[in-house]
Amino acid sequence: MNEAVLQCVGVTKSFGDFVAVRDVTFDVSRGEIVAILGSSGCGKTTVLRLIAGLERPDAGQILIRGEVASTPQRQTPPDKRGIGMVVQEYALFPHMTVRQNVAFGLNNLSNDQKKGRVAEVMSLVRLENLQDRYPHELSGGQQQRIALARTMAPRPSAVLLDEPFSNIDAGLRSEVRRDVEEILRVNDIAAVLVTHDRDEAFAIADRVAVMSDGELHQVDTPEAVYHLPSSKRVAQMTATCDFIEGVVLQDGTVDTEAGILAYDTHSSDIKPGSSVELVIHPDDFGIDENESGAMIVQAREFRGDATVLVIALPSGATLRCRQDSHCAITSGRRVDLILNRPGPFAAFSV
Amino acid sequence: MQINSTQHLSPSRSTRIFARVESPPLIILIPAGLVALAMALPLAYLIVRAFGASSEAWELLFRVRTAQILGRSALLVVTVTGASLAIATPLAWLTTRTDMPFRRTLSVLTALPLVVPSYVGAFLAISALGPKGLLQQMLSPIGVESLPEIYGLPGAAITLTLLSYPYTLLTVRAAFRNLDPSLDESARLLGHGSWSTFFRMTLPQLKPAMAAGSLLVALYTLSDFGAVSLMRYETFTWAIFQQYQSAFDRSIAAVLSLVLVLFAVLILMGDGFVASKGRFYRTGSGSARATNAVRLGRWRWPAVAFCVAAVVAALGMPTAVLGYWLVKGVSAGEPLTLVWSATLNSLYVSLMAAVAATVLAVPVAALAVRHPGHLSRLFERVSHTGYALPGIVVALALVFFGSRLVQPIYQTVWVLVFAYVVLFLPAALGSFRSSLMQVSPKIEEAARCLGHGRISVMLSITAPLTRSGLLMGGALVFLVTMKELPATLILGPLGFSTLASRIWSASSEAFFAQAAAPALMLIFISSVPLAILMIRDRSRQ
Repeated sequence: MNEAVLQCVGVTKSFGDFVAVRDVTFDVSRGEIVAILGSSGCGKTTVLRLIAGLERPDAGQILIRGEVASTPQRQTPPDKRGIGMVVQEYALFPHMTVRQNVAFGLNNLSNDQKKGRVAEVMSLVRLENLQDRYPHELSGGQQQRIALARTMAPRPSAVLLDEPFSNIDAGLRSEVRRDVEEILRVNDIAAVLVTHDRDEAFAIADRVAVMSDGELHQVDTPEAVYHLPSSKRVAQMTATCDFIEGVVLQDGTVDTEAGILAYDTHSSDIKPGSSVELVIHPDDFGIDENESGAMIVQAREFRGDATVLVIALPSGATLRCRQDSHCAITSGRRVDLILNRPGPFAAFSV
Repeated sequence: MQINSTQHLSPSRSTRIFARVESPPLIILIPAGLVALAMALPLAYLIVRAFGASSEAWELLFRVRTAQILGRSALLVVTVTGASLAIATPLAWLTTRTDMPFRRTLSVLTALPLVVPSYVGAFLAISALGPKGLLQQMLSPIGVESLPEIYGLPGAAITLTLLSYPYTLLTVRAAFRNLDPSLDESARLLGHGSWSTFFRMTLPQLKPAMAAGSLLVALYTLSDFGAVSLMRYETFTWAIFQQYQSAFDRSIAAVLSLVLVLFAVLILMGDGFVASKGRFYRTGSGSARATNAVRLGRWRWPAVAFCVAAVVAALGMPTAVLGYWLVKGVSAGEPLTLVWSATLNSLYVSLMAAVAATVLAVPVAALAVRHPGHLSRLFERVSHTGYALPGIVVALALVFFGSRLVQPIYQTVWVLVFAYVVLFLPAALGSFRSSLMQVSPKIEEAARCLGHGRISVMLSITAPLTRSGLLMGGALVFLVTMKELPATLILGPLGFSTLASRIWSASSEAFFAQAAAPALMLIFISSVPLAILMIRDRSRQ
């Protein structure tokens, strides 16, 4: 199970003076889905293009099934890599029917074999009856699944998905996402998915690689990058969060305005006495109305499925607290914070 | 020198398409370089010849007569360009944005004068309106003894305007269709009336298209040889031809040609100046909505009358006069058989030029679109030389080059076809380039990731998707080659007559009846590719 299908080792790529990808290292095992999460322009698409062999790295190397596929000196052309890619626009061939599109990657098979394989992948994406349509006659979601079927047809060892769900209506998105995930899981395929949507990354990925400015900051399980981000930057990219300052005590807790809190950290230079910042998520604290409480509700935002209260601490710092939709506390009230979080808080040195 | 309008219109899409940055493969780079080299040859050789010219030739340049020729050429270019703009802009508006009756029919008819060669237009005008022409014969019973002089500037300007305004019409019309209606609507909502909106919002957005169309008209006029010669209006092309035919020292023609090229370059630079200011494409991302047609009300029929007048003057009258001469020629026993061999010759060279230009356009455009860089830009620019080179200049340069350096193929069809390719490659390039830009590189990359090599992707993906662009380019080159006159006259092998050269030899000696049959044939054959182009254009709307 744990063999690496894809490995990027210290991969760097520049366009002119602009460093698009800097020293990126990660690997993907068989059957694993890795999501690269980052805002647009952070270099995540370039990582996919490097793995596909559409760009040549300036430094580092890329291994596919243990064999070197890309180095700055030489690289295997994209058609010899056995890697599939689904791009954001799907890039279906407009002059070919769905059947011809899906069969396009099967040039080594006999006609009968082609027919069989096309039928197989078409049933995989549940679009058996659309084989004679042209791409422009399909809906966005159907095009997306055809693109996936076309990519899966030649049985690639890994699949790269570039913002695969961004062109699909919000209402359909989670359904299509579950379908895609199932297809990848059933076929035990290694996949790298690029997205700017953290909910999408968390929902589908085994591991999330958080990327900004061309660098990978943290590669870990969704829970880990959410609860124990390695930097303030990662915390901001993976969650809605606030930060409160505090001082580390002798017993390994942090003294803050919101109370004495347990902490955990990736950094090695946090010791008793050092000043730290803790990441606070909106669901970490509950609130209780108390007329002599130290905190004040500064603002109230009703969101339908939740009510978000902005709580002002005595120092003037604010925290967001998510309450249920029935919460009736209005702004201006005095409140107390109640700790909800069972685990430690992620800490960074200030 | 005539060129298709599309290349000026398509706003650069390259900013949105992620072009591959890897260095261009030699399989594209080398052919593209060779094409560019070949296209640069005539101009380069002309420069060499001009600078090797005798000092007398250069002294000739600074005489008063040269200034007069320059002045006449400039006057003609300005008049024709201005008049074309004045006719084409209202026509474009009426046929795209209003509820004028017979809009569709008129929109096809108004573009049709494009197929009438200038020398045909000129000889028809002379035979109809000239001294002892048809009109005067008709009017003499009521005592009209003489008509206003047609020869000279009026005749040349009227003829060229009526035949070249479609260039402006087509570009401006495309711009009208691409206008974002929401901008006009916003202007109205901000309190501007329809006139104010037109002048402050619509017109400024049309400026690049008007400039592009005017550029085509100006270059067409500057390079025209047939109409100005028949109208005896002595411009540059006429002077060059005179020097070439009569003078012992042919380098005088080379020097004059170089001045003409500089003139053309000046016009091109003027266009760049107008077009480079501001950005003029659709800003919103919303889909193109159809604009509400402007209701003309009681102006409907005057509008139709205006369009019909243009069609009658540019198309109806020439056809009628042509019919008259044809009937007269046939009844006088004019042999029609001669037309067939000329027709075959015309078809033969035009098809060869169309195929050659289309094939040669592929590597240059592929390099420019898929591998942008300094080198590909240079190759593309150089391949557009023909754009600024009047036919007579290319022909002369090849005469010099052929008679001195490549004697064996001089005076063969090959040199003639080469001249056509130099002149008209830009048309094929523009058309193929824009169709290639429609094919996202992502589609080619997707095909690569599905296990197909570079060549396989080119054949199974890129070629079918760009086929229509190639066909359109070929059709355009065919159309303009059929009409081409000066290069055909100068470079055509001895005894090789085409429709153009037959029309010319008959009409320059006022044997209008002899010219009628080949002229009609020429117009008929040229209409076929134009019809294909227009049908495709409409099906894309």
